[in-house]
Amino acid sequence: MIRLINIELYKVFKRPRTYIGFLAIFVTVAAIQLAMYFEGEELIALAIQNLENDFRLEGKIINVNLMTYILLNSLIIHIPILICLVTGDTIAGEASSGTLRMILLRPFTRTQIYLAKTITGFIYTISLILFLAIMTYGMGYLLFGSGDLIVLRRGVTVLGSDDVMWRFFFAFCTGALSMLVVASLSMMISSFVTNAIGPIVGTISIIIALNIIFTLGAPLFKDIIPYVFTSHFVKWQYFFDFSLNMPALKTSIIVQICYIIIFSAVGIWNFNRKDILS
Amino acid sequence: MSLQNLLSVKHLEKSFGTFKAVDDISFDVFKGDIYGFLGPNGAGKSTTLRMILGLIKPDRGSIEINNQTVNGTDRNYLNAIGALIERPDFYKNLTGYQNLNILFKMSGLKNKNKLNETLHEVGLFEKRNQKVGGYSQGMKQRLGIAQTLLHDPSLIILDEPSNGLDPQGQADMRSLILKINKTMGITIIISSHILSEIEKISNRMIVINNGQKIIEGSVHELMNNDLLKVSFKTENNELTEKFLLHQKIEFSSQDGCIIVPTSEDKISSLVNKMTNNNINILEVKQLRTLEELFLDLTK
Repeated sequence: MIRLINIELYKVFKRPRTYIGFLAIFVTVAAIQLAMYFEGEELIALAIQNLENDFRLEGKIINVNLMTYILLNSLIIHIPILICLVTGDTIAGEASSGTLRMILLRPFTRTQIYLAKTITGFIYTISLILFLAIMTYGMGYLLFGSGDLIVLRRGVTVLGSDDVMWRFFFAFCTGALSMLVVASLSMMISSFVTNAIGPIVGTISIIIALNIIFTLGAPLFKDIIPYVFTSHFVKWQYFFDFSLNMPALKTSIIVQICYIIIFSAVGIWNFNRKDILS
Repeated sequence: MSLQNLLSVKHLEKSFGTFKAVDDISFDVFKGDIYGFLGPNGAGKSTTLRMILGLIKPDRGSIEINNQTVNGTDRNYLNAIGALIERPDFYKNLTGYQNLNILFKMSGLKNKNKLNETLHEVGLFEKRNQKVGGYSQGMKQRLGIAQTLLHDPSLIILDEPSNGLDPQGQADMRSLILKINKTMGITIIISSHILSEIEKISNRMIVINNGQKIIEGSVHELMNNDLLKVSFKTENNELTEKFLLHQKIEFSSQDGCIIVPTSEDKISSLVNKMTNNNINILEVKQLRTLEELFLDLTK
C-alpha cells in the first residue's frame, strides 16, 4: 500500500497541474496582503466605523492575526476548486487518458488503488492548506507584525496575541478536514465518470448549490442543514469565540468524518464494480 | 507430447444493456502458442481480452490461468500476464524510463537492470529519457511491449498491436512478437481484425464475429480447409474435366479455368495426378485465401 501511495504521489507531483493550486494561493495571498499593506487602514476604518462610536480602539489593528483570519475566511470558499483540479482528475483523468487500464493490469485490488489515490489526494489537500497557512502567517508577520485579533462575529471578540496561535492551529485543522470532505467527494464523482472535467464541475456545482441552500436558511431545510457538509465549512470560526462551543465543534468533526467515510465507501464500491472500457 | 494448457476460457458471456458483446465463447491457449484472435471491428475481441484481464466483469463463464480459476478478489494471477490493450497509453509528461519505472515498482520488482534490459530488448534504450509525449506511434507501441515484458510473464496479451503503424512498423512489430515467443518462450495472444497479420505469426487462431466463436483451430488446419479453392488453366479443359469426374473430384468452370475446391496439402498430389494423366497444366492459382474464408465466415 505504501508503495502504491508513493507511486501516486510521484505521479501527482510530477504534473504541472498540481502546482496551479500553490501558485494561485501564492498570488492571491500576496495580492491581498500587499493591498492591505498599502490601503488597509482605510478599508479597516470603514469596517469598524460603527465600533469606534462605542469603543476606543488602540494599537495595531491590522496585524498578522487579522490578515490570517480574513484570508482564511475568503480562501476557504475558493480552495475546493483548486483541490478538485487534482483529486477530481485522479481516476477520471486516468480513465480518459487510458493509463487507468495500464495500472489496473498490475496485481493490486481496485480497493487498494482507490485508497492509494484517496490518501494521495488527502496529502495534496493538506499540503495546500499547510501552504496557505505558511503563506498567510509568514508573509503577514513580515508585513504587519503581531497584535491582538479583533473578530466581528456574534458581537466583538478581542483575542490577545498570545491566545491566537493555538486557535489558528485548530482552525486550519478544521478547515483542512472540510477540504478533505471536498477531496473525497470529487474522488467519488471521479469514479463514476470518464472525463476529467466532470468531477471538477460536479463537485463545485454541489458545493455551490448546498451553499445557497445553507445561506438562504429556508425553514424547509432547517432540520437538515446541520447535516449538510457545506454548513461545516465555516465551523473553524468557532475557535475564535471567547469560550469554545465544544459540543458543536465535536458534532461538526463527526459529521465531516462520516461524509469522508460515506463518499469513500461509495467511491470504492463503484470503482470495484465498473467495467473499464476506455 | 501433450500440450500444456495455459489459459482456458469457458462459456464466457458479457452484455452491455441489451447488446450482447460476447456470447458463449470458449477456447484454450497452450504453452508456447502464438494464438491469433481474429474478428472484424466490434466482434467482441477486446471485450473478451478485457474480461481475461479483469478489466470487465463477465456475466457468465469461467477463466482459468495455469489451472487456477480467476476470480475478482485475487489479482495475483496478473503476475503471470503482460498485456497491451488497444492503444499504448502512458503518462505523457513522464519519460519512457519513468513510465516503465512506475510499472516496475507496481510489480514489486527490485532489479533495476531489468528496466534497462527491457528497454534494450525493444530498442528504446537510447530514447529512454525522452518524454513519451514526443514518442512516435511505433515507439509507444514498443514501450507498450516493454511494459508487458517487465515482470517476466508467461503469457502476453496484445490487442491490435499493429494499429496505427506503417507497413515497416507492422513488420518490426511482427518480428518483435516472434522474437519474444521464440527466444523467451512466452505464450502470446494477439488480436487483430487483419487476417494477414494473424496468418503470418500465429500457430493457432480463433475467429469470432458478433460475439460468437465462428471457428477455432491451427492456422495450418484452417489453411487446409476444404473451403479453399484452386484454379487450373490447362491445354485441354475437356480432358481435365473427364479426369476430375473420374476421380470424383468436385469442380466448376469459370473463364476458361477449372475451379477445384480443395485444401492446400492436396494441391501437389492433384497436380501430380493430372500430369501423370497427360494433362498439361499452364497455370495453378489459389483462388480462395484464408482472407476470403475469413470474410465469408464473418459476413
